[in-house]
Amino acid sequence: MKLLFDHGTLVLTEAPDLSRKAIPGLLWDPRVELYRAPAYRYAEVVEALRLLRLPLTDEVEPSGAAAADQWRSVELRPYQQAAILAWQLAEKRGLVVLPTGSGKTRVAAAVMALTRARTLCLVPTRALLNQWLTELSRLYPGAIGCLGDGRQDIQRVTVATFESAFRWMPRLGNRFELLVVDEAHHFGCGVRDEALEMCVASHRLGLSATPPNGPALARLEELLGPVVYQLGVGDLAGTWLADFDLVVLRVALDRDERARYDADHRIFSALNRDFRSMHPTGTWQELVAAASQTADGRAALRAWQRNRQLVGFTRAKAAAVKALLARHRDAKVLVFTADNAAAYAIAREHLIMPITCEIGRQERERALTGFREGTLRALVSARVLNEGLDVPEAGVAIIVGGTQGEREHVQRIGRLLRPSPGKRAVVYELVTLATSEGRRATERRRGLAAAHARSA
Amino acid sequence: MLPHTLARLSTQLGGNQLVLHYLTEKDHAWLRALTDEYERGVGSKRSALFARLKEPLTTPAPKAKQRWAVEVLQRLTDARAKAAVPPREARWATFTAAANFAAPRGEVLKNASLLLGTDAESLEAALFADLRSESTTCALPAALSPEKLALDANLRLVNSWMQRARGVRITAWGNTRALVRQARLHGLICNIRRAGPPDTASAEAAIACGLDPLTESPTEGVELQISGPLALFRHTVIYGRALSALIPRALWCHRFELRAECETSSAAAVATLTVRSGDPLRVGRELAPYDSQVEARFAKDFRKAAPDWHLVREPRPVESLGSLIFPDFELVHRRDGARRWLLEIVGFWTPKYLEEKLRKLRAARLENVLLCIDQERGCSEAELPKDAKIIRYKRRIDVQAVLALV
Repeated sequence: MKLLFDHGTLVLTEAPDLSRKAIPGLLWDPRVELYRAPAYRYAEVVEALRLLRLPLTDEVEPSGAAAADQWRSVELRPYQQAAILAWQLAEKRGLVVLPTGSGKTRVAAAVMALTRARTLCLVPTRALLNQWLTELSRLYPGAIGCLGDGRQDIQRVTVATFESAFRWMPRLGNRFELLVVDEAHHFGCGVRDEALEMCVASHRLGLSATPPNGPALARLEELLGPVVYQLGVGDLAGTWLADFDLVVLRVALDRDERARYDADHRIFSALNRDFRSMHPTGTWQELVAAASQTADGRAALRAWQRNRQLVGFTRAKAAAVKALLARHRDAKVLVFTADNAAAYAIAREHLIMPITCEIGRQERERALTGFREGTLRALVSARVLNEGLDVPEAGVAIIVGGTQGEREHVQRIGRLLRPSPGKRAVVYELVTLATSEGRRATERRRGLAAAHARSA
Repeated sequence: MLPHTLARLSTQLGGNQLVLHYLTEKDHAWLRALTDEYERGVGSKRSALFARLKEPLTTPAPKAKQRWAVEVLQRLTDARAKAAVPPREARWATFTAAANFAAPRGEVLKNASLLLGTDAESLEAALFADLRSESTTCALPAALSPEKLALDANLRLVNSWMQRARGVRITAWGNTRALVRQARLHGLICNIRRAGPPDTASAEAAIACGLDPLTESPTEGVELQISGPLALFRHTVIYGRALSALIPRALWCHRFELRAECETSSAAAVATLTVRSGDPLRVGRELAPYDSQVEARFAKDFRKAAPDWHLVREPRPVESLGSLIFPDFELVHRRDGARRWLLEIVGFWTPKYLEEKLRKLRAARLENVLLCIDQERGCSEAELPKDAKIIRYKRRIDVQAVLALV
């Protein structure tokens, strides 16, 4: 009996009748008349077959893999050591939850050095792909593979974007023993989960500052393992993370903006009221689906969208950004906007560098280096700077607008928390009075407070 | 990929059937108005032009179809950065100058423009000139007519739905080999069986749309049931990309009908998409007649060296173990029709693949089979069937060795 890897699954050839045996995940596939199991259950399948004392030739992993190079010594803080110990005790599977800026990449590198396993690291964006490659090359002298951003090079240690992993996993899922997933909260909700299912790696490490709740967390636990270690911002602020002040600046719409806002708000409110009367517990997705069916509904959704755009960057917000940039003339400032249009408007007006998905990799790297070295004093971004990117020198953040809720807010503030001697960061949050943004901002701050006290 | 929300607007759900609103001849008039409007906007800011193209045209157009066509046009046309200095240099010079000199905006721009040998106005215009939202519009590709735009938009509409397909069933006649090969290349599981003759109506439709005359018997076709390995465990659209890659191959079959089970919403509701010969879809480049250089060279060498033999490129599929095998070639003696050999070129292989192939060939009780095996793949003698006629090759198959065996 042979166990083979077949495009993201495992197949058993020449197998006896196993229909009455309890083998995790194994099903009879009538299409090819073979037993098949999802790849992520590899270790359990092998274990179950061994317990049954069935003769098994395991041909899942390709032979002839290059030997591991020696990792350089990875210096760890006490809480990082504790996280790794907890992960090891959980059979080398699990989710480590640490706040942004606390050195999650270093935890991953230490785990790779410890296991010396063939490793695939998954990261959400191209920007993070390059950051991980740089970070790992400081600690690992061997060649580091890269999947994504136009590169396709597989090595013993490989970094891939989520998107590339999703595409390549059917072919590469059997080549790695350790799977590291950065910003793991992107998984667990169905989208792209198959990338984790199609990999045989039995050792798995998920990293996140903002883990999901409910069914998404349960799914993540199935694919990566349980939460094995968790600290909040409050646990590390003042020692391993910089302290920060959050200043909420409430601004108003001017007369023209208010008139446009109220008109559109009335259109959307009518739709919302009708929908709620019919479906009191209906979700936002259900509302959108229902509204899309009629011309009036679609007009109401457009009105809602116009208001989101309007509130995202009002004239008062533009004035506040101007005043704050002048006030912090000598500080390193990050400006976060709701969309690229607002980012470009601010970049054009105040002559600060935009970091958006439209700015190429090389230019983005040059800008980040310039920011670190002081050649650039401010960066403005809608989403690219939200997650993971290392900008330790930033001391001031101006949150002009956001669309992604609590998680985005926590991640954005995390950009400022990388410590330096005597650093106390300041976060300005601009909120438009008497609009839906007020409620969203309150929810965001509630999320931040929860992240602050995560381990309590 | 085009936004799925737009695909939904051009689709009607009738029962559990997806009815696609294709762009047809009736739409050519407003498509012409659309491309004319585009031509008038060449050189202007691209984002502004495309916003304008979404507004009502001089010739009335169905709104959903117009949005779809504009989206496709956006992908088929190029943008150009029109700037006095390269935008990247402009940005770096301006933003570093702004960081280093605490001066008013105008002065910063002036200083930076001096560094780049231009004026402040040109520098400001160049700042974001290369970004999608700021770039200028280029002329339409020469070959892009309203007819072609319609066919392209229709194909993209089908592809947009195919990306959400869980599995497909294709019944096809002629050129089916490429279809099977494509499915297997993507690691899809392809269950094949022989299909009955096509109905007269679809045969006429195929001829009407200008397809090649059949090289196979018109009564023989295959039915392919295609899905991905993971589909055994869960409903998944992960194979959507691979399944949509079957469409260009299917369009080169002499006749086909494809039925795909597509997810219509996030709640995983499913409806059937049907695509068939005669649908107004853009047919891509003609498929290469051979799958590899080895096959192409062998065909050329054999025809030259063996005038007594007829070389059939796509022989009749062989039924075995409830499935069909597609041999690479059949050699038929011109004067003695009973002398027939199937020739299979095994280039890239794994033990599992070879094992499976030989099992099927044996089960089909085929006696006259030649296996050409790439010697660089290191296939050991023990792994080959004792009674098989084997020719080892390295880059080129020796035709004389083949003739010696037949």
